[in-house]
Amino acid sequence: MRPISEWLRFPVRLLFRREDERIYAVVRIGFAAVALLNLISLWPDRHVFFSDAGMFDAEVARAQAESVYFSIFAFARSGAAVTFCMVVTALALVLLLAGVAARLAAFWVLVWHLSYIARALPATTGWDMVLRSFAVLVLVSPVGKCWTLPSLLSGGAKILPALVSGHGLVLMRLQVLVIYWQTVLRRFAMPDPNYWANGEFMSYFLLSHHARWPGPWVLEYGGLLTFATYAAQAAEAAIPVLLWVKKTRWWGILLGFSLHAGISVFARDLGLFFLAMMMTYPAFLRTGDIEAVHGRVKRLLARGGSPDR
Amino acid sequence: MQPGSARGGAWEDQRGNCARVMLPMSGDDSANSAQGETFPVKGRVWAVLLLGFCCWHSGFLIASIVPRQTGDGKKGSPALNLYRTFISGDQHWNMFETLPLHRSLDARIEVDDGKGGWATLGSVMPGFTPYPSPENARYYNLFYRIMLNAARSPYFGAYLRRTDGLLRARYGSSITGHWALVVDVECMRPLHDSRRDGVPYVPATGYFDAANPGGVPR
Repeated sequence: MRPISEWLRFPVRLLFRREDERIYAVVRIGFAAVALLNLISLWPDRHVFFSDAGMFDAEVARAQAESVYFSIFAFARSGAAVTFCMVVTALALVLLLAGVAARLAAFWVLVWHLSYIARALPATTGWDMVLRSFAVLVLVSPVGKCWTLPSLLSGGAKILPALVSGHGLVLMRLQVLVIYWQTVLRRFAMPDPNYWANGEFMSYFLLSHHARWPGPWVLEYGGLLTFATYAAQAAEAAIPVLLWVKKTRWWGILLGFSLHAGISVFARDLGLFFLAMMMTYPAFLRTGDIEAVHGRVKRLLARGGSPDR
Repeated sequence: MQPGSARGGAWEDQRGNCARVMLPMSGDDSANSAQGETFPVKGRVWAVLLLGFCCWHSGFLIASIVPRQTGDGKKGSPALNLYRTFISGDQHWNMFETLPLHRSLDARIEVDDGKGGWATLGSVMPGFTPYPSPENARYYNLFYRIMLNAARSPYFGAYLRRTDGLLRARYGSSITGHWALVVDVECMRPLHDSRRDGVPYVPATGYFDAANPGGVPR
């Protein structure tokens, strides 16, 4: 019989393969920046969504919880208390962005996401759920020292980046895979009329409330929009695979960027969804990519700044 | 050539000399702390716990690729529900699955002024502020989910009861039955009908009050 260490070798190799700590830094900075933008977008409506004087009855919110109702807004019920919580969260996000007390900040950021989603579930959006999922994964990931404010202040440019455990990146990649593939699979089980299956989704979408330019013009492009419906689904199925395979990851990033940028252009008010999805892609970077991108940018800048140009 | 592709040769050269390497399963606490790592795993026990969590969460995520049925009254195991609440989230990814078949939502409260006319208040609390225009995704989701969804949410009943209470405080108890939440929408017609006559929308208005969260016929 094999010793237990033999059995553990495979998951250990898979999960704890060493990765450049700067990949985590990019994810942390991207996550904190998007979560901060989300907080800023929520700020004007904080009393509407989270205070007892707002739109959602606190007792109904408690009763709607699947198992446990967990929300700081069970205690912070007044307008002033809600404001205080959001200010603390903003501070935590800035700390996370700067990599200062990052673990503690990430913990509070997770508490914030759990809390506001539980308190104002009907007002949540897809990007809230993406941020909430990544809040856990950022918390359990290595923090590292690279690209933090303290390292910057102490001449961090000269610090050699560490190789750290890649478990957080593996979990993030799996999370992105679930987001895309479950979305695609769920549509197969939709009841009739299934607009994704019959190719009418894009036509309805561009006529609907979500559209930036709704109007009768949409009716003239039925064939093209049927193609766009199927193409979007094919892209959603392909993006995680392209991102995960080392040779095709840049194509995956390009395809994902195009898909989500396209949604942002044709849909109203979904810019944060675009940013939230783009924030997940750096988790697919590999050791060496940061150098490669850095070198390419340097070469481009050098070429742009040369006197013969 | 792949977009953005480039060689990481410089990095590969540096790797051999890299001084700050963390071995998460090594259990070498002194090595970790001496090299300035902030990673929380500082021993075999923690490393095994982390490995266990990662294996479990990976398995949970992989299992989540196949959508589970929700809203069927099955609560599932309490431990799993706790895990979903605090760690994994619901993993219910239905991006653009449901298609709201309307546009131009507007919601307001109309109050009988006792002189044969109607005064209008905003539908957003606190303060009966107007429904935002142009509206944003959150407000739209909010009103769509609590009002227009087929299975009306308990939030909606609570909202109407509270609105009634606030209006009573403002206008007196006789206001009950003399106000309504009025929701205007443009509903989309089936595409084949719209293509035939070029008219994609048909207007519709709903009236609701505390006693009639399902709608008041007018």
